[in-house]
Amino acid sequence: MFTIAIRREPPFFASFARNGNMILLDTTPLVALCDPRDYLNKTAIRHLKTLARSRFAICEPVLTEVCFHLSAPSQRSRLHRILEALNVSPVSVDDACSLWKEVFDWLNKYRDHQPDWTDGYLAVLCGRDREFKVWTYDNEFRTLWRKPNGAAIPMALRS
Amino acid sequence: MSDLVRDAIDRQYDLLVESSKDRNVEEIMNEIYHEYPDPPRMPLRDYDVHNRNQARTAILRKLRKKR
Repeated sequence: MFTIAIRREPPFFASFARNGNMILLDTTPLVALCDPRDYLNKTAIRHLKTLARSRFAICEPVLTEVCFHLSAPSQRSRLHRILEALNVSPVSVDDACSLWKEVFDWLNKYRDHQPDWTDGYLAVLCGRDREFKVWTYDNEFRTLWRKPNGAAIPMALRS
Repeated sequence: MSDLVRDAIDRQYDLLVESSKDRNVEEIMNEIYHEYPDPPRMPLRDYDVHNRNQARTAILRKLRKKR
């Protein structure tokens, strides 16, 4: 099974936090938020306003991808600060081997479309917990990827 | 009558919370950008991170450099 690690009292946006869905952050909105020169930065901030009452979570594959794209120290400092400000919880997986197997199965199912590990990881997490919704600018999550059971992946934002 | 007043107060409260939430998001993000600015003349990314193929190619390029 997997759990969402509990964090301390949130310093910023969390004053608006409510119980409800957990937003799984994908790479694209996080890169856009961390880089004011990104062409989706203003869009991401506008979307963040609509999601500010939500709880956020991130998994290691997404964080790894984000750090690939944000290589400057200033960008990574902003990333760290934004994760704190959003009170983002890490998704910690207790049964990693079982999760890996599900992700590999998912990757194999979609092999013709060349998905990344992160795509499969997010899809499988959504399949395991109905509370998860994905915040992404990656269109494949709307048009192509599905949960392992074939159901649509819940999106944090309407298209 | 008391229901009407209560509804009006709730609506006003929601409006206040909404507006302060929007303001805080902007303010906090600007504060973070101001606190950790990019160095002068830092080059822009030479690929579109929101383009799946370009992002993948960039990651592979970076991994190749590490070898």
